[in-house]
Amino acid sequence: MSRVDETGEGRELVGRVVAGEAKAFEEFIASYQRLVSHMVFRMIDNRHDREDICQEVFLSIYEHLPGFRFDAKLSTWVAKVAYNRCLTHVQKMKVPVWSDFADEEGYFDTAPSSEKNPQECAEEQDLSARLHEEIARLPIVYRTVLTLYHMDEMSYQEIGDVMQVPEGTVKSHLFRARKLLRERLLAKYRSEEIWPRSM
Amino acid sequence: MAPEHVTDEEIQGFLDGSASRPEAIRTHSGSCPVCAKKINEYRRLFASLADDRGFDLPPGFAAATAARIARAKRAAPRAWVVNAVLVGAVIAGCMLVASIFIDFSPVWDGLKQILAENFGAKSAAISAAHAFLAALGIKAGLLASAVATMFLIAVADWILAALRRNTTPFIV
Repeated sequence: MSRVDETGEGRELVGRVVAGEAKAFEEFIASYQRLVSHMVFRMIDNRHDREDICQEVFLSIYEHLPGFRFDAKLSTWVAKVAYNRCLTHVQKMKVPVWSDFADEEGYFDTAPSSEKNPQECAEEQDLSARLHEEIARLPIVYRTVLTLYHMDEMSYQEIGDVMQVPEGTVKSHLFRARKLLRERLLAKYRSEEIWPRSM
Repeated sequence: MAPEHVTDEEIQGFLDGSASRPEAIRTHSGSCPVCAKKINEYRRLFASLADDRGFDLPPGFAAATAARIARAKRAAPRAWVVNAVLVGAVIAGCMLVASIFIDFSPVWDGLKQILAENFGAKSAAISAAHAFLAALGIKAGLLASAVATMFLIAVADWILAALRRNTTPFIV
């Protein structure tokens, strides 16, 4: 389901949630769960914690939604709540936000969701799995910027609002993250292995 | 002299649509296989980064989360109840401590008189209970404050435990 965001539909949905309409928040969650799962799955390495954290993000959103005045895009605000919740979790787990995990082996759950099954194990050989694996080794801040820019198509300014950093910092993180990712992938695989000609 | 290659920063900007000289990059990459290859690699990397397969929450996640919120909301006490209990506990506690130093019997006598005027039969029972406690050497005011304090603390504890069970304090 696509996001309703800043349209009149979005305001109407928020109004219904705040008024306490039972089905409205379910609609809201369905509309924003993709954005929240992008953030949480990228920032939280332990896959067993991810679903719980997604739920907690929505609980927090529900609690604070009456105070939302549409002075920012709703999607930016939702991402900010998710980012702050994930940050609290990684700090509690004592995972350094800036550490580069390039040399860590077997520390991360690189399967993006649920338990790995045989099909997923086989898929680890494909580009998607290689990419997920390499992204998981980047510092958390880089992973977040990559996700918000490429998956959620946010602007530099929106990402800056989510992460509470200046636009220039976002640009710089994004540049370094992509450069690092390309270099690391090419250090491990041949170009044709990662990016087949058919792509 | 070898032509100057396009930098990583320029390529990323070119693909993002923010390059200051996109035409120059296009022209150069048309005649430079090194830069053309690099641009292609970045282009494919960007396409891969937009692929969000594997980020699926389980089916029914929205319904389960909404149901969890509804349960929490039902179980949570309202703000005025929480505030009233907390204020009551503080007042009762203060009275308990104060009754050690201050004689509250005029207050109780006044209260008894009000009760006698309005609820004659009940006030007789209260007087009897008061006399019984006096015979045992227990101050009725002190006992009442202690009981009230314990009761209010128990209620406050129950509310806080309920809030902790529901993870988030849903005070509506």
